[in-house]
Amino acid sequence: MTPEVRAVLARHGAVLDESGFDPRADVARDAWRACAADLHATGARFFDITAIDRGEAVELVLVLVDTPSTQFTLRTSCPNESLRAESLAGVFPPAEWGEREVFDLFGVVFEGNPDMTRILQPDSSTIHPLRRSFELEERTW
Amino acid sequence: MVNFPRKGVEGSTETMLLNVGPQHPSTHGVLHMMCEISGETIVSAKPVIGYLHRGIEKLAESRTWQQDIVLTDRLDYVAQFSNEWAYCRAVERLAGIEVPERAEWLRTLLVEMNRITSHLIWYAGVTMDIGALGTPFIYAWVARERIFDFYEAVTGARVMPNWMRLGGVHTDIDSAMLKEMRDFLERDFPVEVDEYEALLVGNEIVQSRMKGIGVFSAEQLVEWGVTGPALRASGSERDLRKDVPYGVYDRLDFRVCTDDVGDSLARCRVRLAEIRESARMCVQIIDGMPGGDVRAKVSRALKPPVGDVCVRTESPRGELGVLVASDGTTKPLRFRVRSPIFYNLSAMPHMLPNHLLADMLVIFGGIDTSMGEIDR
Repeated sequence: MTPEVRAVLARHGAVLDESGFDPRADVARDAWRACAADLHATGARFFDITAIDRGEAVELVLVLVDTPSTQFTLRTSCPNESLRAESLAGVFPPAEWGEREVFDLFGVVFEGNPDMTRILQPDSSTIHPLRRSFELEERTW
Repeated sequence: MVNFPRKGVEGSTETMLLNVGPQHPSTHGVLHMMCEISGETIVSAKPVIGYLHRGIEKLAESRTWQQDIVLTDRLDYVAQFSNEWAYCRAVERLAGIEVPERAEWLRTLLVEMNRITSHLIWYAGVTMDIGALGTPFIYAWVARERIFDFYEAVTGARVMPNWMRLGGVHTDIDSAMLKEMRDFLERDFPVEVDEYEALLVGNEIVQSRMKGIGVFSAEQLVEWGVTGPALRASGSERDLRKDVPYGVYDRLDFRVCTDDVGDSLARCRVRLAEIRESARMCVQIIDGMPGGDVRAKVSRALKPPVGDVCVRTESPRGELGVLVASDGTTKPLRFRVRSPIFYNLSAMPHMLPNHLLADMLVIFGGIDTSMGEIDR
């Protein structure tokens, strides 16, 4: 992790945990977009945006590459009663599609995404299947 | 209704909406491309995906860690070994499984052969798209079938191998088979690649269709999230096999194939160079292959510790990432595939405007799509 990235994370009050495989930084939801924008300014490259269902909340995971050989994740938590976050599409263009997928499969709404529509499922779908509460039916054939 | 507002062109007549696909011979699977055109020029474009969505990430959550390997074959179905390896590496890292030395060599060998067959499919497809119906397509199939025979002999299947296991590989390759592979890759294969190259970049029509079409700088492509050969054709040296060496890549002598022109023809040259480089690497791997076990003992009821890990690998199409999260049970909490082509395709709305409609397929061929991994 580069010193510039560390400085940005500290400025946004991120909780840094380097005990796992890759460093992870947890920020408050208010600081999500501002922190990502400052990380973009340090030269960090977008790798992926996705989510993990933690039961009570959906954890958003932004994977960034700071040097060609190292990566870290920026995370924030969206509680079930308020599944929304600011969009990063204006910061990292590929995040537009990544966020659409998180919206489609987890139901998190990204405010400011220019095209907040379903991407993998048909528009008529009413489910968010990657939530753990969505259970697969038994195969009947 | 797809959200596709028309931009229009100032001072011009009304623009037209043209749907290419989802059933169109040139889209390599079920991709639907909406193009707003003014005359022959693309004003704006939007790929519509999801027609091949099978819910693989959800299915993975209802199977055990081992059972999920079979699903990874069905992601990018022309780069099956790359997917299997990415998944196995992620789980092995999470669970702290040591892979025997010989298994790492075998995995690298098959993945590099897979890179060859995957690029051959690209070759067959891109030549078809620009009007070379038949000849280059069938030519590419000659070498591809030879390599598929090896897949079948090693794994028992041509297309869906399901060969890797957590902690190694399912079957060993004997020395007679390795010699056969080596003979083919060192003696016969380069001759065929010469032919492929002459048919593609040596062809006058291909050159006039591709030279100077779709020129993008490396900075633009990085900003749009493009990775892989499409990015390297613009001069970038990014290749995870060098940047974050895994398998036995740190012990092989190979170069990152780049080109500094950044047009569609450069993207062809990079892929053809990668085919040659992969064949060279395979020969090195066969020569350096150590003996020993090919599979570590891993419990069938594997329970990786609580946590998550994201592993990046270089698939034939770019940076393939697998994020796995465990809650300490025998089934994954989350299995996420960061598909390189998903993000490469998301750059299409930036890449296509101001190009001719006929150039769409040329630019599109430059990122080499495979719908199985985009839609998952």
